[in-house]
Amino acid sequence: MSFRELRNFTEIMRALGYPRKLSMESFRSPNFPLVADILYWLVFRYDPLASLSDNIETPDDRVAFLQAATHIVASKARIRMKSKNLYAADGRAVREMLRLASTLYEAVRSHTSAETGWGMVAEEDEHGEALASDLDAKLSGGEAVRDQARAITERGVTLFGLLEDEEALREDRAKALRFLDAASSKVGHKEEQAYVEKSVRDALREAEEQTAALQRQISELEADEKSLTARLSKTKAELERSQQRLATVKNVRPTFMDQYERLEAELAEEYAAFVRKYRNLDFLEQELTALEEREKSKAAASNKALQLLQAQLEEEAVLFDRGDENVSDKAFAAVREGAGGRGGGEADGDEAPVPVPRPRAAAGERPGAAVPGGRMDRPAGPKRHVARGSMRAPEDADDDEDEDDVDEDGESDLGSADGESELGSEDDLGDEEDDEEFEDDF
Amino acid sequence: MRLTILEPASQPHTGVVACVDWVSPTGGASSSSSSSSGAGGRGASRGRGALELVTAGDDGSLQRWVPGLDALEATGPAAEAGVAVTGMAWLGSGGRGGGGGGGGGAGTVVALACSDGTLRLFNALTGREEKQAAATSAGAAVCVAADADGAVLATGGEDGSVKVWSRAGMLRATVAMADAPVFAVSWSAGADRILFASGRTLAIKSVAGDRAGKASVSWTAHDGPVLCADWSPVHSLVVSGGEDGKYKVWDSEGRALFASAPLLHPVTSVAWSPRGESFAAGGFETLRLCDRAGWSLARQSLAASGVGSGKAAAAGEAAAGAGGSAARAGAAGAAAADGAAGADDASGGGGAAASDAVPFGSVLALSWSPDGTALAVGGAAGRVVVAQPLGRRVSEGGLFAEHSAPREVRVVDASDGTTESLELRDRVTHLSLAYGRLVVCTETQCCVYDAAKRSWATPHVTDLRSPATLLLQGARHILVADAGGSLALLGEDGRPASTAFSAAVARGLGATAARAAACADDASLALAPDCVAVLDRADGRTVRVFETRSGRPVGVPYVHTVAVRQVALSQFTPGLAERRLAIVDSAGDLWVTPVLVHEPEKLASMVESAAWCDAADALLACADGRRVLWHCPSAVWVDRDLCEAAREDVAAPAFGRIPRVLSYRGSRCVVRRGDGAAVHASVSVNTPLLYGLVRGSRWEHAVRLCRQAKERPLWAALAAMALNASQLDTAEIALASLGMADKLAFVLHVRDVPSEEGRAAEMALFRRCPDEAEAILMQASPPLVYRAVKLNVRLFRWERALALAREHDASSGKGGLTELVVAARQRLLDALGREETIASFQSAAQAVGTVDEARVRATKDRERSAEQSAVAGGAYGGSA
Repeated sequence: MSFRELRNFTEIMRALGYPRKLSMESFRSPNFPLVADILYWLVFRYDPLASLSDNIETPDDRVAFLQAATHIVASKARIRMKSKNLYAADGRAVREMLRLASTLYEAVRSHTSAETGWGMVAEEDEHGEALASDLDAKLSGGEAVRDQARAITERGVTLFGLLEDEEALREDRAKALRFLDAASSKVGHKEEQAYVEKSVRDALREAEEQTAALQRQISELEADEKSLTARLSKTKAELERSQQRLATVKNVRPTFMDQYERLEAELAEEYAAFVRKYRNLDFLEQELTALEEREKSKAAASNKALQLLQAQLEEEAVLFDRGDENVSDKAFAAVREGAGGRGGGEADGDEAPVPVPRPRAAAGERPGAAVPGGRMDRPAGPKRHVARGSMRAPEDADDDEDEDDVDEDGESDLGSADGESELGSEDDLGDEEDDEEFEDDF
Repeated sequence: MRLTILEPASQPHTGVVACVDWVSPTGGASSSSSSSSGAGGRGASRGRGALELVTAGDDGSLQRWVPGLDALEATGPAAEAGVAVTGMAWLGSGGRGGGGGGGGGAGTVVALACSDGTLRLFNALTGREEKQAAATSAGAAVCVAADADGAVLATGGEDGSVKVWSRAGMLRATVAMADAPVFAVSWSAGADRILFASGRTLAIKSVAGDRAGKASVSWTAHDGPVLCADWSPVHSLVVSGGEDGKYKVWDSEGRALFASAPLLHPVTSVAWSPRGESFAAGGFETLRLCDRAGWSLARQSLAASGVGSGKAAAAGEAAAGAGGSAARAGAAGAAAADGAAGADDASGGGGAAASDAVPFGSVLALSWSPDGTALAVGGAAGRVVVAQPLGRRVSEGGLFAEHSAPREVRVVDASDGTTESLELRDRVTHLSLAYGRLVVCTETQCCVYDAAKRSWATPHVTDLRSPATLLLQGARHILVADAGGSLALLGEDGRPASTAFSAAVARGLGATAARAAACADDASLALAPDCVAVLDRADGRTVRVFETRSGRPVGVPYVHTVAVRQVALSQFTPGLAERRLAIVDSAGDLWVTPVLVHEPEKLASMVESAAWCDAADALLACADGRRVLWHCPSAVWVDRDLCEAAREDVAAPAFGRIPRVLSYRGSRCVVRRGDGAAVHASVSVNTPLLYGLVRGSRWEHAVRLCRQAKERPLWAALAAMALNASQLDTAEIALASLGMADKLAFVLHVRDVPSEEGRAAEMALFRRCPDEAEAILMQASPPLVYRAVKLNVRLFRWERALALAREHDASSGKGGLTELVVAARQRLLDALGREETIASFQSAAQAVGTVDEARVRATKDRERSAEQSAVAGGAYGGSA
């Protein structure tokens, strides 16, 4: 045995993919099973179709195995291996096997350098010539592979489930098997037979007990049924009796019924009368309210008209004080418009005009006015109040000489008067104050 | 991290490639001449031109390869052994060791273990067989290993023999005869012990017989035969791989530090990187890169790379790149667990590319290039490739630097999202980012960039004589150890700080200089602002400290009792007098000592790793699943009780098994867990503040800080520092807060001493140094003799007190002190009811006669008032 050969042999076997681990110490002492295993593996690596028995139990079998193996190798690979050395199963056997292994290894190496890769060689036996380099082939194979993968998964799941159960079942099965073994191997053995008989008897007794229990249950149920039927018929009879009584009671007419009906009719009449009266009262009250409303609005309208008029008059008085004759017409026209517009609905108005107190009577305030003529008559307020009550009031006012004077005086200042009237309508008080200032200046 | 695979255009080997090794034909020193005269010399950079790859295997031919930056080229068969080769070892350049060999191609001798059981020495350059010897009695010679200097060989044979050979191929000794084939041998750092794998066991045997202290160990390592093992000279860790599919990391005592999960196939080869921070493990078709703690940094499927066309190689590279970028995206924010994420992604990339594959077989041979930038891989299918580890990443603040391509470093600034690509002239070997500086070491240069100013265009470049083995960045200096055996010190801006440093340190280190530098790692070198501590890797116990300014040794070398695992220097307080050295030894004990005068004190046991804070003289250690912080380790020389009180001991389950403190900056520490995750933890915020205040002598503020913090350890640290600085008021407050009434009473007593020297002496007493106290008193001018006598009386050192008193009485002629001592002694004896036993006192008592109490009192008063008046007259430094 040489260190180098042993090292190379383990290395080559590793490279060839021998599934077991080969140690440098494997062949220090004779190890025939390992030699046989390696030889068997190598022969099948060389020719997968070789027929070789793997029986090495007795020395004769071993010799036969080695002879067959060397024969195959000699015929197929033309390598003569010495069976005697192989049988020694030590370093010399390694030397013999190394020749076969290195032949295989050289083939692999040359294949690798010539062809695609090293990893392919291992699969070559299974896939034959299909080197799976063709893309189409790969694609078509994909579907099948996927199906298979799925199937594998499913099987795996099932297997896993079963294996999980196996854990629990194993013990029982082992027991059963033990028993069966015992029973079959020792027919007529007392212990097993007694056990079987006992078991059968136990089963019988159990069945009988079960039957008795069922019978007992049946009889109990029958008794129950009977009692329930009796109760049902009793309840039905009670129901019939109650219905008959109900019918007799319905046929009897109670006393005071006639009197009750008569009083009811009377009550209905009284109630109708009460309702009528109440409605009338209500209507009258409504009328009264409406009347009051109307009067109130009328009073408010006339009040406003009076106020407007009063304002106009005051302006007029101012203009007049300045010597503007024309103002009064304009002012009155404005008042007419205001009053006429609003008083449209009072055409028939026979009511007395609402007396409007004249605020800050011009006459009282302006005793020494610049225009003496007619100004002294201005306080004749009531006269104009009456006139303003009707549509014709402005015409009466036209006749008034004072107003005419004013009109004649102030023709040229029309624009300014207009402006002032507008202002005045907006802010009477301010204007008045302005006026007062002017007066003071004067 | 990730591995990129460099695939040669053609593969000349026809059989199994069983061994690969890097050969530097003319040694490291004269690389420029070899690049022109050496075979090829095409476009390769200076550093790499000298390096060649030699492979051998079952076909019996030695092949030479020239590695370029992005190509690997076979230069044809170098020699024909004519027999299958199972193991190979390069005997070193030879010239360095002192004129061995000589003549052309002396550095190209390789030792081959052959399957016919012979050991053969071949000159790889000329192809001449120089020596042939039978290494085994039967069967093949399986493995051969040379020590670091190439001075001695070891072979392992199929018959179980382990033999030691001289450089010339003469058998020296048979170290062991195991009953199973020996599949792996490896030398220890000092070439005095051999590790070998036989059957399921790993064994370490001393070459020169079992001497005391170097007993042989042997342990069952794997569930199947151990196929490979490697022993790192850097940190003396062993990695082994077995047929059970696991790789395991052991320490040199055989204690298991890591065991991987079982892989699918046996682990057929392992190799430590030259810097020892990672190892490679190869199995069937796969290659793994692992951290020294065992967790996986990267995985690469070797079946992914194609032959000839290079198409598959590109695919593999792209996959690896994708894996790398995914890892980058995943770990962009936090650096924690970056290694694990990177490894996963890279493995995903490798798996994706494996469908279109060419066989590689098991990885039977691994060899790192001396600078650690390339890993040669030989496979059972006869292929040879070179793997380059890339993707190492460092970060500080918002800045991330990644070794993204062999000659490129990519810097990402997270604050504004910009990415800079730094192109270097040669392969990048080291990368470090700290204190606002990015340091990139290539094979020939050391470039220092100002990272704080983001100035990437103008690095300060220093030429390196040989490739760096270690790059250590301190606050003020950058220390570069190179394979040529020298330590160079650069200033923080990259300019050489001291021209004399390298030579002076080399002188100081003597014969051990080469190994100290070549086998340096971050545990064997420590850098402080004013000194450098170097652990001697040869004996593992001696620590030498050198000044940074001149390179002169500081004090005498410190020799520890057992092997030292880690050295660390305190960083904060300036001045060599305050510099402390912390040592974690192989027994797991943590010791501290001042660097000037060695007074080693043990602080803790079962310590895995320790680190000093950079902003305080606080020491952090991971010990037995706990995080222990000494706020003031210097207190151990002031008062051990205070040191204990200033210790903060917190259970730290988050640190896991075998944690390593990566850094302790300010109030944050980063700890690498055994499984590779980086844990960021926050430790006391107040300690750096307290040290800052004490450095500025702002004692009131320090007191206020402690009152605010209300932490007992902080008070204790303040008390210790105040006592050390003789700030008695502060010490009084701190001791009162700690509730240490006895110490407080003593401090109050000391404060009442009028003279400066008297107080210093009392403080020396407080530190339990009575001799020092007496010396202080006697060296005052005029000497405080009365106080010294009294001190000895108080301490019951009667003879010394009497001697002093007599001396003084004789010189001054006044007398009285002797009588005083005798009186005190007499009082003690009376109180105890004892007789005088000391002869000198018996005679003194006779000389004095009867003691006059009144005279004694008068003497006392006189001496006291004399001291008072002397102080008032300004004789002693200052008053209370």
